[in-house]
Amino acid sequence: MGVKGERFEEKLGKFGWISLIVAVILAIFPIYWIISTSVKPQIEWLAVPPVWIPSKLDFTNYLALFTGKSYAASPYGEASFTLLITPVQRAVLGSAVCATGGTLLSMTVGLLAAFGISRHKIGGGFFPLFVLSARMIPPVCALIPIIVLYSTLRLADTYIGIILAYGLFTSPYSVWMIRSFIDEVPVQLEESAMVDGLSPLSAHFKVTLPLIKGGVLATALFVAVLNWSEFLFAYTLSHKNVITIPVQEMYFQAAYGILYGPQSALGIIAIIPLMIFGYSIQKYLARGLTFGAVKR
Amino acid sequence: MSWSKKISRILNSKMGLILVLVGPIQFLLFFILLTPFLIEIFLSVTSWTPLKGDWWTAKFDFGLGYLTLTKDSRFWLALGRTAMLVACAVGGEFLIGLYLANLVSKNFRGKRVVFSLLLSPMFVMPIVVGYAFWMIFQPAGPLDHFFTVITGINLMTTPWLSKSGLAWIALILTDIWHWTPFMFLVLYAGLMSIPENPVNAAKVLGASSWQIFKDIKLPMMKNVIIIAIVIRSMEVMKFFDELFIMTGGGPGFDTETISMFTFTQAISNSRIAYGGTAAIIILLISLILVVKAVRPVLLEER
Repeated sequence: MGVKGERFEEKLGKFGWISLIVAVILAIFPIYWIISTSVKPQIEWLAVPPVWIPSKLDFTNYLALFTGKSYAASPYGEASFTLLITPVQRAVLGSAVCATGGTLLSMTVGLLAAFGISRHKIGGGFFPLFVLSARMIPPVCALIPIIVLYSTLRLADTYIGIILAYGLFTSPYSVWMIRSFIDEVPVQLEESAMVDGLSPLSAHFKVTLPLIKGGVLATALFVAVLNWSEFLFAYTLSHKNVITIPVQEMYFQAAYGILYGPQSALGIIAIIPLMIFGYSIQKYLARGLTFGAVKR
Repeated sequence: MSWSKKISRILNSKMGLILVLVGPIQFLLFFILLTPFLIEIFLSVTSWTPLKGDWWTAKFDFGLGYLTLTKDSRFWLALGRTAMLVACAVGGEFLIGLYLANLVSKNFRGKRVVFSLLLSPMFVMPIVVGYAFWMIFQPAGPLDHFFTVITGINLMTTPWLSKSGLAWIALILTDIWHWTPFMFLVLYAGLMSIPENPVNAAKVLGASSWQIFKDIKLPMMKNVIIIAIVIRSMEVMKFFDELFIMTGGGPGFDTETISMFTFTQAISNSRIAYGGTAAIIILLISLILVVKAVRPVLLEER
């Protein structure tokens, strides 16, 4: 959805300006707080009163994440034990593999199913809704039997297992979003191509697909954002072999809880791709989030 | 006839199309949604835990799990809390989102930047949102410091996340922060799709901007509003990640939602069958909501 001005021609009043500025500050502040904590030296993490603006940009927290580092448990040196940061490369890799794999799977099945639903009405009104239910039920409900199934099939703690789950649980978005793009392409285009001798499948992929490729790309990024952010499945379906960034973040929290700097730094690393993807598909966000119901 | 032509003809027959187009997703749905769902129904009428050997050897227990669940006050409290979370969070998000959407729809400089900045909370992943707010709500954290400076009273040790009422407020505020952008975005889209003529006509007739908003814009946005509220409500029912990292359902189990309750029972306490029983009930509730609320809303739009 584009940002258009000049409608209704109403000027923003003084009170409106104040409200907007407050809203923007509130929207930004928690993000600012993670960024600023991620560049604070250890002595400022827990200072009382809190340090609102870091005294200098200190990137040791980021460095510690990738090279490993032991921190004194207390910056003032009273405690005798240390907190060890284990490198997080594996978590970054795990997130990348799971998000990419899950997105490819979701997009493949989603694109095919969207054509089936939009162009051939396969499954009538029930089938799209059945697909949608994968997103509407609380994930924890699906999770319990999946754990049981996966441990029986030895899929627990494997990339395949997580990718299958990610592919399925984001497919409602890929199906409904792509379907809304296909619906906007007149079916006559495919019909006339078929008169010229193209089979239905070739008509889908040679006529309609090129026309909606921007939308398909936006859908892929949207799904990638969801997969990259996923926590619950990754946390419960894997133990050792597969670790993703959100799971690593939770491990830090559970094990130490007070490694503010490195934990914030990992949070920043986690959200950078989300910000890039999110802003680049800004005009498709409303459509994606509402399963194609709100078109602009 | 060459092989490639034969294959192409088979693929493009009615059956072939069904197989190619919806076969893959059917396989996924069957394998990761339906099969587990059947396993879950089976487990929900047993008292299986991972310590009792293979799950398929579990013994039927005549629905004892369901009976226990109806008597489990912790489950009912979690259910009530979830309903309250939906009401408070979605209500708050809607009102703030509507207000902001209305403001941003007006004319001002820097609109593009304000619009983008207002969306940014949505792009932070839930677990990081949870961690950010965990830091903010710490005793002597930024929030306490801010209130202390503003009010002049020493509030530096407010136990935001370890006192039940406060922890609940903190969680609702977290969700409101995270998802108000969703409401804002969708409602803004709705506001922008209102035709200009009725609005301009009302203006010519001397209607105030509040009257225009209340009597023209709001009724015209009805569909979008319903869509936004229904989808957001379904999503809030799944509220888990932030809760997990911020309070873990505590103090005690005072902030436990249905997701958290099910997770605690099935995963933390290893009572998989009992968690499965709770999950079946939650599934039924959400399926009823999907059929009654989501389906009409999403189908009406097409």
